[in-house]
Amino acid sequence: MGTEDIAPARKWLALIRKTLNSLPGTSGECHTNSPLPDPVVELDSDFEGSMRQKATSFFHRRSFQSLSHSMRMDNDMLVPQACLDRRFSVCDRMIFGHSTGDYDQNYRWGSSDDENGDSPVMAQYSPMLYRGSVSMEDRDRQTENSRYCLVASKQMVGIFLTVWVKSNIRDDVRNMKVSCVGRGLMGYLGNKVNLIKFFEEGGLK
Amino acid sequence: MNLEDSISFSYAFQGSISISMSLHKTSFCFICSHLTSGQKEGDELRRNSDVMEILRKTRFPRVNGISDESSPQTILDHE
Repeated sequence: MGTEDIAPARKWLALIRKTLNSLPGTSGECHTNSPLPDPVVELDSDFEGSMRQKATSFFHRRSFQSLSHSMRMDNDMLVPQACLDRRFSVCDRMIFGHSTGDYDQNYRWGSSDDENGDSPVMAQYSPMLYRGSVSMEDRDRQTENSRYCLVASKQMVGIFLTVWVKSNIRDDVRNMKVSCVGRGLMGYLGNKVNLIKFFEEGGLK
Repeated sequence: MNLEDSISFSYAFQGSISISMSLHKTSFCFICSHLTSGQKEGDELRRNSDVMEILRKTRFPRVNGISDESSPQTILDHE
C-alpha cells in the first residue's frame, strides 16, 4: 500500500529536480543526469537509480543518516541523490506508519492533540539539517552540480508537497518541520484504506 | 460507527501538508491543501471550514535541544 504510493512521488521529484537544474542561464549544470538525448529514458534511469538507493535506505532506516553520509562520499554523481534519499526516508516512515499503526493517530501526527507515535520523526528531522553541515568542498561541488536542492518532501494520500532551495543557501535553512492535517481520510485511496482498516479490526459492528 | 458514517465522514475534510522552515531570520511556511471541491450550495462554506480546520490543527511543535524557541508554532505565526 505504501510502496505503490511512493512511486509517483519519486518520479515527480526526479522530474522537478531535472527541470530546476536545467533552467536556461546555467551553464554546465544540465549534465548532472545522463547525457542521453531521450528525456524519457533519462527520467527512467534516474528513477531507477533512486529506487535502488531507496531500497537500501528503507531497510537501514535507523541509520539512514550515516548511510546517506557515506553515499555522499562515494561519487560526485551521487550527491544530489543522497540528499534526496535522506528526505525520502522521512516520508516512508510516515507512510508505513499508516499501514501498521492506528491510522487516524498517525494521520494527524502534526496536530496538537497528538502526543505519541510520530513525534520522534519530527525530532529527528530537525537535527538532520544541522547534521547536514557538509565540508566546504562538498558544498561547492553540490552547488556546481545542482542549483536547487530538495530540503523537504512529504506525501499524503492525495497531495504532495516538496520544498526546494538554492543549493548555496541550503545550509541556512533551519527548523524544518512538517505538519499534516487530515481529519477523516482523503480521496479515493483514503476511503479504501479506511475500509481495509475496518476489516482488519474485526469488521463492522 | 458503521461503514456509511465513515465514508461520508471522509468526504467532509480533505487534508493538508505544511512545511515550516526558517531561513536566516525569516520564517516560511509552505502549505499544500486539498479542499472540498464543487460549486454547489454549501461547498463554499465547507471549503472555508476546511481552511479554518487547517489553520487550527496545523502545529509545529518545538523540538527540544535545538534553539528554535522563537520558531512559529502555527501557520499564522509565520511572517
